[in-house]
Amino acid sequence: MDIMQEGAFGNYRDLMEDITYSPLMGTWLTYIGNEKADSTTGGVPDENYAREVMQLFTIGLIELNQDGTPKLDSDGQEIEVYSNDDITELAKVFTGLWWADTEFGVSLGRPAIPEIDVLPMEMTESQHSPFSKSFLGETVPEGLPGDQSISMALDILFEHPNLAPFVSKQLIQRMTTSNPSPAYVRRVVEVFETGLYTLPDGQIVGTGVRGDLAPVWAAILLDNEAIDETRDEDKTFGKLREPIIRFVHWARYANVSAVEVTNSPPVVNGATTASLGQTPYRSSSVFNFYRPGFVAGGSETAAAGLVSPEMQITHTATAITYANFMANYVFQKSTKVWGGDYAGPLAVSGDTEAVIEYLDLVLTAGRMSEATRERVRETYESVDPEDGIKLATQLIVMSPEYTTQH
Amino acid sequence: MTINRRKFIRNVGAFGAASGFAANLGSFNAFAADTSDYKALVCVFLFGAMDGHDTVIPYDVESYNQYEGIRGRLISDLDNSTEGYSPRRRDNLLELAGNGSSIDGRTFAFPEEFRPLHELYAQGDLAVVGNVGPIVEPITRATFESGSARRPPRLFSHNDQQSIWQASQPEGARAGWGGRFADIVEAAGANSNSTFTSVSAAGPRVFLQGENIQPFQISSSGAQSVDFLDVNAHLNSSVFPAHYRDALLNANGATSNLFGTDFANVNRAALEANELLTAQFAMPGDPVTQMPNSSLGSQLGVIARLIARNANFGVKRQVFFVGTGGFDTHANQPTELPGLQADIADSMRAFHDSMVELGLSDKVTSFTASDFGRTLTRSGSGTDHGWGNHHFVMGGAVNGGRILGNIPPPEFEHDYDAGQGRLIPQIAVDQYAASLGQWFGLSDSEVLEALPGFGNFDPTALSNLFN
Repeated sequence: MDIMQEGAFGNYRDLMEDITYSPLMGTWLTYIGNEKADSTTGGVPDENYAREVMQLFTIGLIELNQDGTPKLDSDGQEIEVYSNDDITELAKVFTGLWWADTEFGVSLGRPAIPEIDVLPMEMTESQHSPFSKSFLGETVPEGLPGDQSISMALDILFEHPNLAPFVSKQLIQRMTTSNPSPAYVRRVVEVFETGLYTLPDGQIVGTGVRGDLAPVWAAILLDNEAIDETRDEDKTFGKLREPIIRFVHWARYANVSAVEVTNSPPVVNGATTASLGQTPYRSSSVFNFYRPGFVAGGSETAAAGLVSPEMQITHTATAITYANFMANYVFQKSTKVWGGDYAGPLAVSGDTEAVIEYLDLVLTAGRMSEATRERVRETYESVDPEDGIKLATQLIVMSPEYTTQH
Repeated sequence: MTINRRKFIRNVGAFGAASGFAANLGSFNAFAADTSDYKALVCVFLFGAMDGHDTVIPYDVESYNQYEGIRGRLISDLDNSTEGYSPRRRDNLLELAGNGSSIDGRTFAFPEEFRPLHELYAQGDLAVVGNVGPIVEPITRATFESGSARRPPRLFSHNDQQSIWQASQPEGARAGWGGRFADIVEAAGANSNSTFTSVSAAGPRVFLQGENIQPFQISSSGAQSVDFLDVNAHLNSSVFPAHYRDALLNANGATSNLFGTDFANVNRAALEANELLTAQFAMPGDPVTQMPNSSLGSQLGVIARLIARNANFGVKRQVFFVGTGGFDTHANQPTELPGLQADIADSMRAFHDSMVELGLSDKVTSFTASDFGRTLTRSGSGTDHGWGNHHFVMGGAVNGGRILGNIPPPEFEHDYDAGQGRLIPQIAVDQYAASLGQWFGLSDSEVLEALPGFGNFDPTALSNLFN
């Protein structure tokens, strides 16, 4: 998380390096303490990180055009980027890494050093595979020291033509729309490749180095496809917002401050009947909370041929727990939840309509439906404003206008 | 009435070459699904890929020694994990005995953790199906390496192989074979209410998605209710409860956006189905058999509660999905896997016992599935991604106490080794699924409709799976 926060506006290659050396990633994907092959016991290097760094973090499984669409062979079939032989070879690269300042040895376990979890792993040469490593048509030469092998391997992945479309498309999916057009992806990919983006006012941002993420974010958020006002009429544009984003949006609106996740058990306890349906820091695997290619079976988006990634964790078993989770906070039904204050809407001068306009602006981006307005209006006016604003808030956080963005 | 395909095949005799299977079957299929009695299929998905090599373990002395030599510390690390006890040493394994339990003179055993399922095996209610996995057509090491046999896409990738197991296609597939089975029995009029025809206790899973049938995701805690909905007033507002209900139903909502429509539809389905569940679960009828307090145990527990009320829900055919994870044992397999195996065995056994209690054990068939198998080779303290795996089919209708399919010897470079003991499947998922579909009551043409790939394989390979 810290690595992501620090690297979000840096270069993607640096993120790859920092993540690879993180002992938390090393532990999660089991390559901390990964040993070179042992011919006497038949043991071979663990393939876990080699596989997922390619499949999930850099290039994906199939060859991509620069607009993010799959390349097809002469039979119209997708083309796989690598075989298991590539994995077995790359696995040799990620051998010899161990906790910082500590003697290599799986049996020794995690050392009791302060902040060891954030100190980059270090290379133990004697445990690094000395052989050459050939993958993706490139070769890390025999005998190259471990850190240099890793650096060269990450360069190979970074330079791969799949990297920019694979990463860019998923960044778009997280920020603006689940199903970006190929042209949108291509425009962002070009910025990823050049490291430069021209803002609407003509100012150029970015370092000019391939993989610079700051101009990529600008390209995603300021793309015409994302900001064109006619998008509201396009039923296929936009995305469902993931539960944690919906919750944080409420927390900001309600002026929740001094937040410590650990002092609000409902946020970190996903097993209750009133859980958010997405527990921060606890995705169940390296495949994250949901997949970019998820199709919600039987849904309107599926019928339209669209993916809807966030729907993977929004289903009939989490719908009611989400409603109860939000109500728990909005009404502050327990001392274990952060209470909000509603100073913002309560300070609105004027009548109910002015309050609704305020709520529409800060919660539903001007998209509140007539039906929601009507429910909010009657409910708000039925009691005093302090209670009325809470009830109105709960109605709104359950509306499609709030839970989606488009 | 139905024709039992096995009998048909037996009567007619031989089948043709691979491409001819479908044609043979297509010629005699005038019969629709039989849905006269209650039946349910339960898919138990082992996420991450359970190591079948470490579950159906070579037992004859020669094979065991070979296995021990290859697995090394994956066995020795378990020595003395309990005082004086070594759960993976041969003497402590649970032999699979009886007719049909050996292959070419080689015998097999379950680990101690599987004792509850070993008992079911011994009494004939559990069968092992060896070396099952997704394949497109029969394939061997030679045709795999030469590339002459077609292979499934994206081998060894977790999410994609999970999807291929469930739906014959990589991630993004829109319907699975469980859902297609459900479509077919629904069309045959099996169920008067389709809300609970297809139910997952493990979130949305493409296995259960049909072309028409919409799966319901149930919470393992049972029926859920929305707070502040069934009250006269909340925060003194008497109009809030009704408006809140309308908000959840998105009443009069003119959502123009498809994502918003999907969100609203999920809320509506959740509210309506849970009201039905709340009413039914308030009445007596739960099995008294205690389920383990694990995620898998709880999921199977809520499924048992649903099955117990099948008549009340108006269903004669149901497909279910439960799942549990943690099987991706790249490291620490000796400390991680045994507990997971115990959970599977305890949970599945308790589920079977509750079906016995309900008098439905021969009407409910459970089967395992998993992303893929694992390597025979050891990497560090774990194993890596493989392909074919050994699976378990449980229920009173199962012709158990035997091993179907094949379990290759614990060595390398045999005809079904894709390298490092990643098994090349000899039983297609399509064959495994087809035998379950036949038991479920599907006609032969309906099986092919749900599993088009089945036509590429020997239809008799698992013809002895059910009594």
